[in-house]
Amino acid sequence: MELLELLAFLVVLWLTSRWVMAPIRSADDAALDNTELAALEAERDARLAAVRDARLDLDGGKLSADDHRALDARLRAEALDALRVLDAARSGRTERR
Amino acid sequence: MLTFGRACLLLALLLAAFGVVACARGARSRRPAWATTGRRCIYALFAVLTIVMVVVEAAFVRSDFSFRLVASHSSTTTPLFYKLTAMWSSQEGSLLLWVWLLTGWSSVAMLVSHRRAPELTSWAGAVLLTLAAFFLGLVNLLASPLQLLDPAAAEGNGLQPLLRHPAMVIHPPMLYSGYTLATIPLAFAIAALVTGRVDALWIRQTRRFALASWLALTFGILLGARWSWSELGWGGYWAWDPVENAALLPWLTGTAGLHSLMVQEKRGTLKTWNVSLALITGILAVLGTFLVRSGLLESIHAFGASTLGVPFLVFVVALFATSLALVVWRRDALQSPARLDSLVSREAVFVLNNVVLVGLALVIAWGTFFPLISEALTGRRASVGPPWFDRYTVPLAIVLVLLSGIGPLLPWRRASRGALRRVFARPLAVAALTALLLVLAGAGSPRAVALFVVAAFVAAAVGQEYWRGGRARRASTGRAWPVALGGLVSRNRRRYGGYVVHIGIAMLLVGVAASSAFKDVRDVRMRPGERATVGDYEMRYVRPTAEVERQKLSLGAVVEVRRMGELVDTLTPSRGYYPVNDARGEGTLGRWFAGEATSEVGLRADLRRDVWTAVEPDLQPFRRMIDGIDKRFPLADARMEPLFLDALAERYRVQPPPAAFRLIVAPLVVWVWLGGLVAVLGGFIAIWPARRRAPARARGARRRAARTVTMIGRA
Repeated sequence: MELLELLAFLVVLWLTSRWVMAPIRSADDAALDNTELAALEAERDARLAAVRDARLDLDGGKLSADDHRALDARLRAEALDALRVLDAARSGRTERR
Repeated sequence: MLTFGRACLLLALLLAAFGVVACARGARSRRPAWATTGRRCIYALFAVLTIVMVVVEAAFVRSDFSFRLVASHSSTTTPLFYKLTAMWSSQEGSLLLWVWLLTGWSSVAMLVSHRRAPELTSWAGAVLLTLAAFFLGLVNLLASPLQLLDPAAAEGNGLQPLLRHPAMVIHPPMLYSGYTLATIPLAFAIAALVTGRVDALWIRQTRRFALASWLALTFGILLGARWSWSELGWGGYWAWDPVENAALLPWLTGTAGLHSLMVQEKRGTLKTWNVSLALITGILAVLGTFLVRSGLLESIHAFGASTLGVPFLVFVVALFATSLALVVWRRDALQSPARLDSLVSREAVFVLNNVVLVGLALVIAWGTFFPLISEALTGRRASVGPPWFDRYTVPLAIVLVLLSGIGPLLPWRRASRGALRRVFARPLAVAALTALLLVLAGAGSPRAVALFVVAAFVAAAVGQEYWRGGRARRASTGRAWPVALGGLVSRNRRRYGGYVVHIGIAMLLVGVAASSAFKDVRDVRMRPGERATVGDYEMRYVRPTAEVERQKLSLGAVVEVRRMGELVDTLTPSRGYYPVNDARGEGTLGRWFAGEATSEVGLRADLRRDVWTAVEPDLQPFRRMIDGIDKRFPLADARMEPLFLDALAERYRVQPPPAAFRLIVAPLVVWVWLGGLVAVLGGFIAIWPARRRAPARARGARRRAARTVTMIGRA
């Protein structure tokens, strides 16, 4: 029984170490550089969500049509900025490649 | 299997330690090979711990009493359902469950985040693996679930009787899921501070985990309260016990965080506050585990004899100090550019709501740790009871419910006077009408009345939001009301799911207020045929009941409940006695009364009120019989025992002694459970992922959105 347990553990150990260490053995040296892009995407999504929220606030009677128009223009301008920055970051990345 | 399990547990510790190094190296050098290895350590750790869990569960199912854990928390007569869940009734087993859940949720976090934010994810992985390594250190060195009992016991002690309740089977895994899920935002917050990326990215990666933690904690706390009401026999569902409070603290700060995260996402502000809330919620989650395990504070839940107090304390202090140091280090990056545009805006209400929630957490923390504070200052341990907690928490809870109604009525940024009049008129009218009706009905307790009024305001505010939103959607789509409402919710799950949560919490607090302020309680001693009056109800002790089950002797009563002379229900409360298995010389019958006893509550519940009864038979008149049998038949074997028990049960039925009854009539208790379930439903709506569009359609939609924004920009 003890021998079987030992064998079972050796199998677990072998499988685990082989799988865990595999990336280091076949080292890929590409840098981790997605974070900037992901942050810009998060910013873009937040801006677009703000435009949607303003529409919901208008539907809910929390904003008058005039207030909504002014706010909506401001929010869309912010969203546009976020999209431009994201596009620039993406094209910069493509050029680097 | 014990040796195999131990070896796997040790391998898990080594994996965690190596994983910390791999993740940190991957993040520092920004090379994916080490980061991937670190991440794989987490997945492998979860797999190895799953093997350990299977080994322990298999030992419980097989009643393998060579495992000390199995011998002390199960027996051959324990039902299979409870055998499978007996593991987490022990300290060792629950720590294993904690770290298993931690690695499970960590694996999910790694899977969903590593592509989008590899550097953050790698640092977060290092933090999560550090937590796992600490808990694995405990289960390897100080509280192993895989200890050998040599020689193996012939029979186990069985599961603690109080824990033989379905709610107790799910309650610990739910709370632990809540605690472990709360460590994911903590880990990403630390990662954000280490990398200096304190923008909204870490929030986006952890928002669902924070909400899942809140959901699990809500459900876990609710199950614990339900167990207390229906099983503990003291007549309440919340006792401000330190362990209950320990679960409530991260719930409160987590709730605050869920609101303030939105402010950072929308307005780019409250960065320091959000990162601090994520850190403090994660630390409170570990602290909650510490309180249960350390024996530091007296509690009906705590494992008083534990030796884990010092390591836990050192770890919690180190975690707190590191978090604080990181926040101070990154104070410049945490400066927020945007300020609040107006105090009459949704974000301003969220800030106020955060202040109240954190205030509640501080009050509860003060009351919970007061015994330690008083001992440190005066040398004498003093504690505060439920009246102290109620005095401070009830007003704050009323303000909180009020804010949960005001928030949905306000827009982001700024509200005009006209809009305020438009959206507040109906909810305020409903609140005023409720107040008037309550005053006319002569309702006492100003605090309870205030809570009912603000709850009515919340219901009206949320109802109005659904109505207006549904009406607008109907107008734009031409669909029927149910379809329009369904579409409204499914397209804006966070907003409308959140509103459902608000309704649920208001319902829950209405239930709490009504059942606390207008509860009638009587403790009486009755013989069969006698009556007692509680509120509008008359209870008659009709006859005794006695039943001998496998491993349980149940002595109880049949109680008739009448209202204005009419029979309402017949309740059968009872007291369950369980034999102690260890040979302490208690005797064949005596051993049945030397261990723990449980209450089976007689309960009639409807939407208006609960009629609750518990009984405790006076066994003094039976003492002579019990001692006599134990003396005359000291060597009686297992075959004789049922005969003696049957004789005792028969005598109880024929010559019933007086019994002590606790009789309670409490209004709206069901609202506590319904409100909790509505809140959980709202949480599910909010967390449910939006329908995934096919890639081509999604690209098309993004292009359309970009085009629209561009056109408006040009205009």
